[in-house]
Amino acid sequence: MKDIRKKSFDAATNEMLIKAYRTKTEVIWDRADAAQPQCGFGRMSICCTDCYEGPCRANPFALVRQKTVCGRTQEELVSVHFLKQVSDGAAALVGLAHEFHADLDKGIAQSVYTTKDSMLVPIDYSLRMSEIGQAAAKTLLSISAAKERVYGKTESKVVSANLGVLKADAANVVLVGHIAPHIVQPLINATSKSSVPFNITAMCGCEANGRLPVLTNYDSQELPLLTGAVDLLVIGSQCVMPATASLANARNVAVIAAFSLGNEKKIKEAVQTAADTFLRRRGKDVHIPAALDQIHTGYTAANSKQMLKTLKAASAPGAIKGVVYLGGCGNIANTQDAQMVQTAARLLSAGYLIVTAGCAGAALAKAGMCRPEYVLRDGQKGISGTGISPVLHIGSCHDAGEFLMMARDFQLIGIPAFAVMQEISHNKVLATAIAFASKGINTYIDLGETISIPEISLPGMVLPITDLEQLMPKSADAAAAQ
Amino acid sequence: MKRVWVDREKCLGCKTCELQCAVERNSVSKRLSGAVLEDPKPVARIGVFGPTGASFPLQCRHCQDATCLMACPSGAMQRDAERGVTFVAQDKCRGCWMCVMSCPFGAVTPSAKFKIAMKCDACMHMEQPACVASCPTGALVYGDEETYIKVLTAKRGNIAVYITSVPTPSQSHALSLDFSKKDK
Repeated sequence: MKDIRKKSFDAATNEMLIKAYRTKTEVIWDRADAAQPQCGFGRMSICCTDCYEGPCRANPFALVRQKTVCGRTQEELVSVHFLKQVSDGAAALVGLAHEFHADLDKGIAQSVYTTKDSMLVPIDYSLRMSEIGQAAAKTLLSISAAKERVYGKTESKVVSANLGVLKADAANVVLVGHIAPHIVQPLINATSKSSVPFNITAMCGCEANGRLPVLTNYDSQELPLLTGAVDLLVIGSQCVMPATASLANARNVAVIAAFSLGNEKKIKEAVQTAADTFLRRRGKDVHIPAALDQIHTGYTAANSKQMLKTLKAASAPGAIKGVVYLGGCGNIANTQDAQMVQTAARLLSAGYLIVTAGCAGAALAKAGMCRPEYVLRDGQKGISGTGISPVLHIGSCHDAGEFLMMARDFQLIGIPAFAVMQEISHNKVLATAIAFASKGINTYIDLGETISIPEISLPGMVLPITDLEQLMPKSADAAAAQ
Repeated sequence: MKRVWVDREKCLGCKTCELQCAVERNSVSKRLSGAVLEDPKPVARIGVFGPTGASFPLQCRHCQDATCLMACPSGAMQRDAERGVTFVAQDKCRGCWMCVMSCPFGAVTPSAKFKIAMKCDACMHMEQPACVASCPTGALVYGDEETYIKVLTAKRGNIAVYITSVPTPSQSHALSLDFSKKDK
């Protein structure tokens, strides 16, 4: 692996990458290097494998514009592909809602689904987008409601973030991949009854509404296994790399699917497995990076109402330009976390508050931004002294429904809301972006430079991330802020 | 001499050339569906390298001063006098890999299974090289220098420059080539 120290903005990740290199352990960065060059047709969404008369690709350099076998032009290929990705992301959110036992209309899955057999670009493309967006928004709100049913009305909490949350002298359980609250809570309860000390950690999402420490985000999800301190891996159904499960198997770390933990017996077995693994490795060397950050997380629309009152009273009118949802997954082609941290720093300097979640939230947490002490530049004059954190971490990316509700509250006190989805890798996040836009929240999306966003008109605008420059201060201070 | 020219700006990294070279030249069944099931796996003599967005298909450049020709101790590496193309006479190759080591482009592949060196021979016995025939964007072009200059001209939309005589030491000419003006 070349340039290890440029692979991630986070020093702990780089430290584990050096360990991966020395132990000849293959991780995602190695596979990404081996995959170069990646096909340009796919990068630009100008190929199609929807049917068996294909696969088709449109030659972008041809003098005569090339069409697919069924007659789609290059622009239509891009539009239809974009629609299907959004539709798939919305379906992923609906899947999560069902897993979480959320209250959702029976017809919603059907309304988001777009089959590959429909080859025509919808006559009213924007209307179809809006339908999917509205359904995704409903789904996000239902997920938030389902969590509240299990955990009740929770307050924000301070937890730890980064690889240092793993403990050498406790059985470490790692939860990866959007696990249902009604599975997490019994698991936590069961471990507290064990004779062995337990440490339950979540990969990025603070599965227990702000009570679980955050390990790291998507691209670095294999690295906690390299510490040697993970005793049990509980995996959800989405956002778990197959490589993580196989690496765990190779290191004799038990991998248990979350959905199988539906009854007490199974949970007890899982806890016993983790305890046994811990006892086997206790006293032996583990390599846990000394990287620990405090994050204030678990903010919900409900528990933020008091904070909003303080904000309205304390800040001068116009001191806070707006509140921005900073989401996204991270792209392996870039230095991990770097762009998200940079965007966040620039937004804060420009006078915006940030609400963050999921892998983007973990990126900001690892950079130490999710706490009140991070009031850093003139842009936060509006909130310094109030004790309010400039970056509000709300949990997992499936908690984006909280932002939908918060946006309304912020707008009531005169603070406009918009969203930035940096380095989108997974369709759920694209669907969330469209959900925001269909509710009137302008959303900037980053899909990589080769992918063009088709023209859609929704209540809120969907803009390429390059347009975000217009909101940033152009002075030298901004350059110094980076 | 006819060779394979590369327009690297058109290469999108789809690796169709790699697949087709392996299927056409190194498989038994000569069909993709059959080739992928074969053991030993067919070897491609062309490789697409580079990062995403700046990919480049690389095969033997058939150098004028070929190091592989000089390095080969058994006389397996030969040049076809008529076509100017270098190729491996597989019956003579002993698998010493001197050519593999000496090639400045890394275009020679050692085949561990057959213990011979594999290298592009511009499909000299075929009508058109497999990679050129299969490239979907036209990044690969087969022809001599004039063909390539025509391709360059079409791409840049400029005049074609042909140098018909080389100045001798007693003459001195200052040649100025203006690539920005049309029809001059």
